[in-house]
Amino acid sequence: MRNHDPERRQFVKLVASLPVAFAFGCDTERYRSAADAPPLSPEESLRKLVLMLGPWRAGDTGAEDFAARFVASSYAGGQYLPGSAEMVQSLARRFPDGEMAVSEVDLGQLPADERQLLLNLVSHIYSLIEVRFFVANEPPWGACQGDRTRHTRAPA
Amino acid sequence: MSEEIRADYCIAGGGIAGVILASKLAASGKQVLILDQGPRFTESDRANMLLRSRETLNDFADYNDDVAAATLTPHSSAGDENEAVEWVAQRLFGVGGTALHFEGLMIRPREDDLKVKTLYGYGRDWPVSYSEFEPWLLRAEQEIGVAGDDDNPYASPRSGPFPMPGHPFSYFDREILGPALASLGIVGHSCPRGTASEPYRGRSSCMACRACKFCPSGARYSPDRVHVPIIEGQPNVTILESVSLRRLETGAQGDRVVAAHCTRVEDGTALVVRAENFILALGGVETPRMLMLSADGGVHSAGLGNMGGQLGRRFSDHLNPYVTYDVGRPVGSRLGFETMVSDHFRAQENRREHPSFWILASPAMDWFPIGNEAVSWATRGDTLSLDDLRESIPRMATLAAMTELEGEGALELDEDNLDPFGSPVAKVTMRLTEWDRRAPTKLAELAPQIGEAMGAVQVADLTPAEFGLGYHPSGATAMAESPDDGVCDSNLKVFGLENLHLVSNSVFPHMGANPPTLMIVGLALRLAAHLEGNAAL
Repeated sequence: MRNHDPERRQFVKLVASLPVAFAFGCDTERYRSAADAPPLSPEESLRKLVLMLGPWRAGDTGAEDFAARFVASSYAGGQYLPGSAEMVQSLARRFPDGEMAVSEVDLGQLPADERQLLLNLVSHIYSLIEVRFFVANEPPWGACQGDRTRHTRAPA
Repeated sequence: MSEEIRADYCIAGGGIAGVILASKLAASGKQVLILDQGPRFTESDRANMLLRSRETLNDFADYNDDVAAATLTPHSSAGDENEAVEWVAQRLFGVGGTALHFEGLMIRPREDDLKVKTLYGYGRDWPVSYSEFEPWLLRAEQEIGVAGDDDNPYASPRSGPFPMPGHPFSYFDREILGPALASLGIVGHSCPRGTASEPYRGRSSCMACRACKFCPSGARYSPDRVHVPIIEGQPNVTILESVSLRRLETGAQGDRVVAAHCTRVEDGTALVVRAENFILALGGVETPRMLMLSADGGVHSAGLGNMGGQLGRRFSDHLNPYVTYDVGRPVGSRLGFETMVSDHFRAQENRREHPSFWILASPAMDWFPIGNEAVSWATRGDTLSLDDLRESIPRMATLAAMTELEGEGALELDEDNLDPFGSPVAKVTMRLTEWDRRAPTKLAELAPQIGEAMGAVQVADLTPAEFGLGYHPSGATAMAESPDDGVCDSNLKVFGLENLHLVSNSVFPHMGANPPTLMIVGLALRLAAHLEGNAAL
């Protein structure tokens, strides 16, 4: 299911219409239950954040695979896990498990260092070609299309 | 005892200049030897790089990621002191050279690019006129297989058509960028590319995979796919990969090169090449460095061809500033490269006010990290709206420029930093003059105007002017009339040495805003004809 899918649009509008308190960082009950849960490992925490912040919804193929590759990547290891593992875990604990493609994040509920880490992570995820092409409904990078006029057509 | 090889022509450097030169010299029947410090990459290597890029989420995976450390010659840079700009090279080591991963931009020089000193008072004039050089540019386009349309009102005269039609304008170019430029009095026109728009000499046309660095279809010109197979089929041409040239030895009279001393990268064994003619085709950094490393005890004590103290001087490059927009509506697909550019700011009337530059824009370039802008624009107060962010991605476009520089950089040997074989590396001191900085300043004025004309709802700041330095190093062994002004003559023969020639962007006395590759190929073809005394080569 892609970003321009009508069903997805409907979902996005529905989520967007929910009260701000439903957004992550503000739902105290959900926060408490997540915080009380056994801590995830740093790798599981990063995976959770990637799925939560990324563009994929449940049922989108490739989401889990992407998250696994992100966690295993050298730059994820360099920027998030060794030096900032505790912060990644702390940030992940602030959000409920199992969420994907969240609509918004209340940054005001986050400590400054976790806020910056989250913004860096979002920037990082959405700079990657694979994610941008998914969001823009583009075929995978490197897959020959056999259609050299595709770029000339008006976007759907 | 060193292994010794003899040849008629010894070409050091198997990049685009070296292999195209060799492909022409091969017709002479003489023994031609090419040395390259890097490996010969295979199609399997290329496919694996693309796969690994996906597996590791590395959008910047490249050909030299996994080569032996000794294959890569480092360099140093003067950094920030005294207003010097950090210089970071983007070159590749391997048979095919940097053109293995280049974008294939085949924009020609303008006629006045070769006469900037006379016409505008900056830079240096070429000792070759445009009218003399232009036929070689045409032949270069045919060798490379350039797709382009004759729709550029700013272009200098050409003596023949492009080998094939240009790529059709993208939706963004046709419906958004082009009209916006037109409203500002700027003409957007086709962008000549070394990517085939139709089958050409056995190459496929572009299949729109958008992974141009690896080009699975083979539509984008790459030396290892076109000219290397040609010369590998010639019995009189030999390519030695993973061989590092360490220095050239001059004879007792100091008027000839008698040997090239080399080391095999894999095992460190020595190799000596003796040849009638030597050609350095090592690119904009290693060509001047090799002349410096080969200094002798005689007339060339300051480096080969450096009697006038010009070796390493007037090093230049391009600036590549960028601006990102949220255009406010979907911008459509990108072919993998831009289909429209504008040479408006290369035209004479603008050139008296600032250095020349050309512009292009497209749906945000694949490798350009737009995440920062997307996050910034989707954050309001304490709320990050990921819905807004996701909706903005298909609306984002990037405008880029390539600007010429006056050429006040310098390249010298860095005795404090040695390469894996113990020789000093090249140290680049890149200085931007007040004149150089006028082009990014002009672009910073222009970018919001273009954004407004496109209906953009967000415009990012210009990425710092220094961004992009290192793609097109040039000028440190310039062509000139005499050693007082350069290192080699108009036929690319090094001053004072009858059998040493150069072919790379280092021989450009001045580099306009256009990318250098087409000119390098033109010079290689011209040199082949000169060496063999046969213009038909």
